[in-house]
Formats: sequence, structure tokens, C-alpha cells
Amino acid sequence: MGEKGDMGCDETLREVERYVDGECLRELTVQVEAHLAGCTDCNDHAEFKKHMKLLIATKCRGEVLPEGLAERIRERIRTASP
Amino acid sequence: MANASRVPAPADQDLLDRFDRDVLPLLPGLYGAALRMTRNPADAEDLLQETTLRAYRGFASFREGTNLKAWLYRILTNSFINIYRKKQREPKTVEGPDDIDEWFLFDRLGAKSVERSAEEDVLEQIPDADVKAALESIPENFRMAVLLADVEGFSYKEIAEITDVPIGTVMSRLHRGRKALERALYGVAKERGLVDG
Ligand SMILES: [Zn+2]
Repeated sequence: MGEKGDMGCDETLREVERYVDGECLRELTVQVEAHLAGCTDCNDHAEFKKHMKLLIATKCRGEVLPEGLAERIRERIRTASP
Repeated sequence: MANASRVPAPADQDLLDRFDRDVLPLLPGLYGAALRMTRNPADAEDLLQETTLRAYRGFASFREGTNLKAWLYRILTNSFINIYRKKQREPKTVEGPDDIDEWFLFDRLGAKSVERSAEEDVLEQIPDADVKAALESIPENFRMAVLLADVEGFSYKEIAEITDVPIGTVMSRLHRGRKALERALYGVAKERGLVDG
């Protein structure tokens, strides 16, 4: 994977998901960011992935425990033999 | 720490206190994950009961300072597999059509031709319940990966440990899961008349 020189669009787009997940090593992160800074198209793709990730997080988070469930759980544990 | 190897008596006050302090705050997140896994509230509650009981029983041997959240999600995942996977008999869609369409949703919503705000609007307008349903509609292994990464914020390495597969498998499940989810969301957007055609 592009250890030298600038990354091209194809390579950047292959890495963009890992990049958005914050899972690229530092060196690769720097290369991806260098490409994104100079390429509107790839940057749009990256922004889209970030947006999707955030959307899923915000729309699927924040479930509220059913009434009394925490108490039922504590009660069951208290009476269970560990 | 000193008495980590001690066999706890029933209703061990130390353990109960630790449980209250460390586990109770994580219950809403665990319940949300249980809901996405089981796809119904009654099973999610049973799964959470089972998970917390197992966690409590393993608590005495759990070393404080290690990753409690990941440990709990691992128990949740294992409990789910043990209890429900046999029961549900979901068709094992291991391979989706691994299509050429890498940027399915981007090409339809994110591309330059669409105004940026328009794309965001379309996706924002999809109600939470529909996004959750879309997530629940994708194959189980994919769903777990997306759930753990995007909703719970675990790293690839943590997900690999929680689901007991290599990191490469985590990445491939995530990638496919997200593609499947994008397609499902596009379907929802169409049904709701948020996009044409
Ligand atoms: Zn580019």
C-alpha cells in the first residue's frame, strides 16, 4: 500500500472507510488527509461516509430502559447465587 | 483487588456495589444493542437479564481496570448466540451479492449533482425507528459489526474480541454491513417519497 508518493483516488477511496473509522495508522492517515485536502471528489466521499456513520449513531442510540427493568435485574442478581 | 479470588457469598455487598457503580450506567446501551439483536423488546429484556446474571457471576474474576464495556458486550453477544441463534434460524446470508456498486448511496444522494443540504435532508428526515428497522433488516453478522462500530463506538480490535473473529473479518463484515444498510435506507427514503424513483 502506497508507502511512497502521493496516493491516487482509487487507493484513497479504498482506505476511506478505515480512515473515517479512525483505524488507519498515522502514516496512512497523513497520506489520506493529504489526498483529501487536494481532491474534492474523494473528500466528498469521505464526508459522506462520516455523515452516514454519525447518522447511524445518532438515530440508533439513546434507547431508554423499560420501566422497572434495572430494578428487576438488580433483584435477580441479589437473589442469585453468584 | 486483594480478594479477587475469594468466592463471593450470595448477595455479596462488594460485588453488588461494584455492579451498581460500573454496570448499571451501561444498561441502556446494552439494552439498545439487545433490541437490535433480538428485534423485539421481550427477548431483549430476557437477553439483558441473562447477560447481567452471567456478568455478575463472572464479576469476581473480572479484573478492574480492564475493558469492562467490551467484556459486557462480549457476554451479551455470546448469550445472544447461545440463546437465540438456534431458535431464530435466520437464513445465513453470509455473502450478500458483493456488488460492483461500492458507492451505492453516495452516487444517489451524495454526488455533486445533488445539493449537499439535500442529501443531508433526505437522510435526516428518515425517522429513527426506520433507521433502526433498516439496521435490524441486515444479516446478523453484518448487523453486529455495524452496531458495535457505529452505535457503540468500539474499535476494530475490540469488535474482533467481542465477536471472536479476526480483524479482517470485522472489516469485511462492516464494509458489507454498511453497504447493505445504505441500500435499505435508500429503500426507506423511496418508500417515504424522500427521493424519486
Ligand atoms: Zn481523489
